[in-house]
Order: sequence, then C-alpha cells, then structure tokens
Amino acid sequence: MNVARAAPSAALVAAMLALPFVGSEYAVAIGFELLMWIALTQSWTVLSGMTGYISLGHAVFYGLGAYFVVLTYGTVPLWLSLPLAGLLNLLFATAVSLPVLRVRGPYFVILTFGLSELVKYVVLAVEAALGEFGRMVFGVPGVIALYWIMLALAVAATVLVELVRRTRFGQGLLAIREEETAAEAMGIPVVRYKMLAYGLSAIIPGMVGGVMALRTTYFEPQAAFDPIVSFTILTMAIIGGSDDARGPVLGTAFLTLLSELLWARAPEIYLIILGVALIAFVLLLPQGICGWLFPPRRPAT
Amino acid sequence: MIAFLLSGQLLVAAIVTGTLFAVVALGLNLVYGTMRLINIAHGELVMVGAYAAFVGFSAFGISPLLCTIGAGAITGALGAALYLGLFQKLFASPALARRLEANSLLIFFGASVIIQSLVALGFSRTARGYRYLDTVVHLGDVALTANRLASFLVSAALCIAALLFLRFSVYGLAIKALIQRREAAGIVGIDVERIQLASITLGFATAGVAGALVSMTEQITPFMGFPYTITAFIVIILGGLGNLAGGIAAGMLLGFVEVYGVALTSASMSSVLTYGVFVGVLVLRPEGLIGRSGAAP
Amino acid sequence: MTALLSLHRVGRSFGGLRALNEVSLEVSEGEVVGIMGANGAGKTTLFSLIAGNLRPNSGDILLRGQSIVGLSPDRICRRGIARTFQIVRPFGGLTVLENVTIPARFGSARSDAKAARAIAEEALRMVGLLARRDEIASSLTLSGQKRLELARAVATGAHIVLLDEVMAGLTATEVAEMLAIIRGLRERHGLTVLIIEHVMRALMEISERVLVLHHGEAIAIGAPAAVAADPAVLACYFGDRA
Repeated sequence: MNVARAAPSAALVAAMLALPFVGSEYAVAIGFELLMWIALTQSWTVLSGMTGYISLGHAVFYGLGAYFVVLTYGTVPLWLSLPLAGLLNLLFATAVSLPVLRVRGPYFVILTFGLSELVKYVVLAVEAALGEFGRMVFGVPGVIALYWIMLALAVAATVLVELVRRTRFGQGLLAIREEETAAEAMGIPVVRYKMLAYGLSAIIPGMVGGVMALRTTYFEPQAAFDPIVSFTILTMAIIGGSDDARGPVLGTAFLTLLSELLWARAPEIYLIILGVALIAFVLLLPQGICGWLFPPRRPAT
Repeated sequence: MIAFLLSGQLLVAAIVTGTLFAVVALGLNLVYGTMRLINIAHGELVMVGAYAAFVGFSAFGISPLLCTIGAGAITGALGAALYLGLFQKLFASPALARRLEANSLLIFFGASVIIQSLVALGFSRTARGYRYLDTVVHLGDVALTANRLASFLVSAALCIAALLFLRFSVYGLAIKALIQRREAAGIVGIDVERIQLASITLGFATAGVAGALVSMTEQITPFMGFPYTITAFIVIILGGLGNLAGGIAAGMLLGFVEVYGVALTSASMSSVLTYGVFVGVLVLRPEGLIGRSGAAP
Repeated sequence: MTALLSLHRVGRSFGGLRALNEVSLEVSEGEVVGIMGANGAGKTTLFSLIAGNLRPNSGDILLRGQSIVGLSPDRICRRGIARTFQIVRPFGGLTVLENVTIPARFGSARSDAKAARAIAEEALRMVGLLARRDEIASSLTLSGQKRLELARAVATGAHIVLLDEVMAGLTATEVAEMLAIIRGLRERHGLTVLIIEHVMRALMEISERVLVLHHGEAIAIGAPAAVAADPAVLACYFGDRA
C-alpha cells in the first residue's frame, strides 16, 4: 500500500480521533452520523459493490442488531452484546442466503427489500403480542463513548472491504459480478462465496444498529427497520462510488453535508435533490464521485 | 367463525379488493412487459391520481368517478412526457439503454422520491380525504358503501376492457408480441416506438385511474403510494411478468389471500402476510404461479 | 483401457421436449472428439450436462470411473473439465490478463497469485493474445474473445476441454489460426478435446472421431470419413435423395 494513497485516509482517521477533544457537541454529533453511514456503506459494499448483487434491504441487519442489544441491555454487558449482535446477523444472513442468493438481478434487489419489510412486520407483530410498543433503554453510555465504538466500526468496515478486495476471495467476487456463469465454470465456488459475502456484509451493520439503539435510547420497529436506512446506504454508495474504499466516504460526506444543510428546513427539497442526484449518477456517472475524481486505471464495470 | 368465513360479505370484500389490485398491477405489467422497466414509482402514480381526484372533487365539485378520466389523463401524460423526453433518447444509445434496463429500478426509485416530495411540497404532508357516495348499499346479505361498489364496477370494467383489447384488437396483439419477443416484434413490422409510447401512457393512466378510485375510500397522503407499489409487484410476479391476463388473475388471487388472511388472523398480520407472500413467490417461483409468459428476465 | 470420460445413456428433457435421449460416449485420454448436428440437436445441452450446468434426467456421466452427476460446475472444473461458451462470456470489465489469471487461481491448478500470472501469460502467448494482456476484455474483437475463452479454459489446468463453437463467426484465416492454436495447446498440455463445430471442414480436420447428434439422438459415431459417408447422417443432412 503506497504512502500517497494511505495518507488522506490516515489523516481522516486522525481527524475523527481528535474530534471529541476539539469539536463542539454538534460537531461530534455530525461526526457520529458520518461514521455510522461509513460503517454501513462499506459493509454493504462487501456484498453489493463486489458481487453486483444490490441489496436494498440492509436495514434488516441494522434493525435486528438494535433489537438484540435493546432486549439484552442490562443483562448482557455491552462488550458482549454488541459482538453478539454482529454474530446473530451473520447467522441470520447465512441462513437466508441460500434461497435469497439464488435470485438474480432486479429480483434480488426487491427481494432484499421485501425480506427487510417482512422481518420488520414480524417484529412488530411479536412486540404487539408482547404488549410492547417501543422499548426504552436506561443507563446507556454517553455519546463520546458511543462515538469511539462507532469510529472503531467505521474503521473495521473499511479495513474489511479493503482486505476482501485484496484476497483471492475478492477476485472471485469480482468475477461473479462480471459474469457469474463463466466464474462458476472457472472453478469459483459461487454459492459459497456469495453466502460468505452476504454474511460478512451483515455483521457490522448489526453492531451499528445496536450502537444507534443506545444513542437514541429508544427502540421502535418502524424506525429501526426503516427502509430509509437501506435507501440511504444505496444512494451513498451510488453517489460516492463503491469500487474503492474512498467512495463510500465521499458519498457519505456529500449526503451528510447536504442533509445537514437542508433536512431541518426543507426536507422535501433535500429529497428532491437526492432523487435527481440518484438518477443523474446512475445514468451519467455510474462510478460515482470517486470514479469521477479518481478515474480507475481501468473501468470497473 | 366458519359462518363468517363463508359469508358473502367476505367474498364481496375479496372480489372488490382483488379487482382493484388487478387494475393497479395492470399498468406496471404493461410497462415492464414492453420495455423491461421496473417502475418502482408505480404507487406514486396512484397517489397522483388520488390527489387529482381530490382536487377535482374538493375544488371543482366534479364527481371522483368522472375525475378518473382526468386523473388517468394526467398520469398518462406524465408517462408520455417521460417516454418522449427521456426514455426514447436513452433507448437510442446502446450504452445508455443497457444502463437504463439494468438500473431502471434505481432510476424510478429516484423518481418516486422526487414525486413524493413535490406533492408534499404542494399539498403538505397532512392527510386529506373527502366523503363521496358513502351511503351503504345492500346486496342481499352483503352491505358495502356505494363508493366501493362504484370503484369495483369501474375496476372490473377496466379489467374486462383490457382483456378484450388484448384478445381482439390488433394493438393488443402487437403489445403481446412486443412483450414476448422484443427483437422479433420490430422485424415483423410492429412500430415498436409507437407501441412503447402507448404502453407507458396506458400503463401510467390506469394507475392514475386506480388512484382516483382509491381516493374515495382511503386517506390521501404523499406517502400513500408505497403499499400499492408492493402490491403491484407481488401481483405481477405471481401472475408471471409480462403476462397481462395472468396479472389480472393474480390480482384477484391476492385480494382473496389478503381479505381471508386477515379474517383468519388479524389486521396486524396483514403486512406480514403480504410480504411473506412476496418473499415466498420471489424465492420459490420467480416465473410466477400462473405459468410462463416467455418474458422472463 | 478405461475411458477418461464416459457418458452412459444420458438423457435430458426440458418440459415436454426431449433434448437428449440415451446418448452414450466413451472418450479416451488425449482424443479429439468432434460433435456435430443441426441446431437444436442437443450439442450444447451435452456440454452443459458434462460441465455441470445441467443435471441429466437419466443416465450417468463418469470421469475416470467416478460419477460426476450432481456436482456443481465449479467442482467439475476443479476436477479437470473446462468449457468455453458458445456465446462468449468474458469478464468484460477486467483486463485480458485478469480474465486468465482468475481461472488459473481457481481451476484445478489452484495456483497462488504469482504462479497464476505465469500460467496466464503462457496461455495468452499460446493463443496469441499476450501483447493485449492489459486491454479491457470487452474491447477485443470476436476472434480475440474466442481465443480468450480458449486461454481461460486451458488456464484452469483442465485435462478435458469442451470447445463450443469456438470458430463461429470467424473468417477462413481465423479458423485456420484457431485450428493451429488448438493443436498446439493439445500437444503442449496433453489435452483431451470435445469440440462442437458447424464449420465442417475444421471439425473433420481436427477430430479423430465424430459423434453425430440429431434431435437428441446419437445417430453415428466413428472416424470422420466414415461418418461423412454414413447413410443415416447423409439422410439427416440431405434428405433421402443422397
């Protein structure tokens, strides 16, 4: 890894490390948001960026993680419940991956969305049956502590996607993205690799969901499994570009900035700009901002 | 309980719901079948139709049943404009055409966000509604409001008209041909451009009409469209993509599943049921329950 | 001598259509077996069954005496059978070299990155694409892409290659080049080759034996000259006038 490329990333990490010490409460809150989306989008990339199987339902892992952490808070210490939330999602993803990954193309996209909604309504029904209409958590760690955890998750997710890219596994995933049938004919175990990618992409979002549940101190299925989460991840990945670890960072930064400027005052304008940006990028700049600013030595798709 | 399940009331509710589902899905199927565009903004067209009827009735006193024409015209015109202004150009360039088909889902998703937000800007997010024909009508043992009955009659008429059109009109034949074998349709002399334009216009228009019908009985908000999009997708997947007649049958089937499902379980299970069917069908039989249409992806 | 690859009464249907019916074939190590037949005769179906893309409805397929029915295509590849596709399927967005290092890394050779690169470069050299190794695969001409398919199949380290119409769409010169390449690869790697071709001249030239399929049935098998003179074959191609 050459120094010139690593320097900006290192600088960014350093800046994020310093933020709680030098920044205002507001700055830390923004930084927290940023880190959350980076963690989510990089994880998403492990599956969707690498294999081309676009997930529009990653909120399901986020929600399941939140649910687990909220349910176990107080009985299970956080240093255990968070990783368990990740593990739980790995197991869930692996369990559903076999049938789900047999479906290709746009069907996969709407299937992941349908799955996320299904789980949401099941959780809603279960909670209603239990007489719960939203759960509160008390005695949560302060925002600074949660910030450090989120920073760790964002870094972990970025490292994960970079590692995957550099391994034989990552090469196999790229081949699957390009031409799945040929990839299989060349000896790539496509079923196993897809399952692994799907599972890996679920772990960190699960933990992120858990952290966010603590940040908001409130769990409500509609909010935790909100499709907006899935859509935002997708939009950030498309706008930022997902062929490079810098892409999601750029996409996240762009969208977070935009939303900070507009969301409070004119959410509709924000969404309109988002919609236009999505269409424009899909049609004109499929490699995203990252692909536009840093054209790869070869086209990625 | 058994008596309730076997009652005419439930049956009529299922038929009324099913027919509406069929109409909503019809447009989506048409657009997907002829152009392979995954219009995930379909529900937003229904929403626009609903608002059109709302404005027509509240501001101008025009009966929502008549507003269906206006609603259909508005959404149909939207479709035509979209086609002539954007899609035609995209289809012309091979690189963009490929990207369009592969990414139509994302593009339409962007469009749905834009439409929702524009309507929210124009009408605010508050739910709207109006009362029209809400007197109860009795058909034997069955009681239902006149507006639902009217909605059913219009939907049923539309479905029948669509089936007849596909069966007996040369344009209907052309549409079926285009759905089955795109490349061949052009070769045998079908004016593909014209049929595509007609399809998107008709497809969007039926959604608008459905929206106007729905506005009589449901609350109208900028975000009401989404469940209709999901329902429409379930229906067209169940019926086989591009299989227009199959879609109508599947719409009826789904209406029955929903109404009887909720009756057997509870209202809160309705969504679990809907999405359960959705996921199940996609995973188990992506080609639909009602046979192949030859238009598989 | 046991056959390297044997098909015992293999059958495959698609709904009501019988694509292959009781087809048997024994292929010895190092042989070149040509497969010919009209479109729809079942040739590509045969390849898909051997390569694991499809499962036979009846019969068995044995590799060195062991059944390979039911194995996934990637496992069959790792056992030493590689195929090309009738409609080329390159990894379009990757470079020519990457297209060939991937099979080298994942095929039966299972090499590490360095060795894979060497294997890939050698395969590219033999098909004449080494000079274009850094170009994007989708930018190659059809002839180039067909040769790329060949290089990829060989790079997996396979002992048996299934060539599906590698000459389709090529000019006479390109066909001759391709024949020379196939011969060269076969000698170099000791390959056993099954080749589907419509270019009759090429098929007859390179095959030691030819199998003729017609509507899913094997109607003749033997040396090229014998098959060309076989009345059943002639009847299929020319009707009863021959």
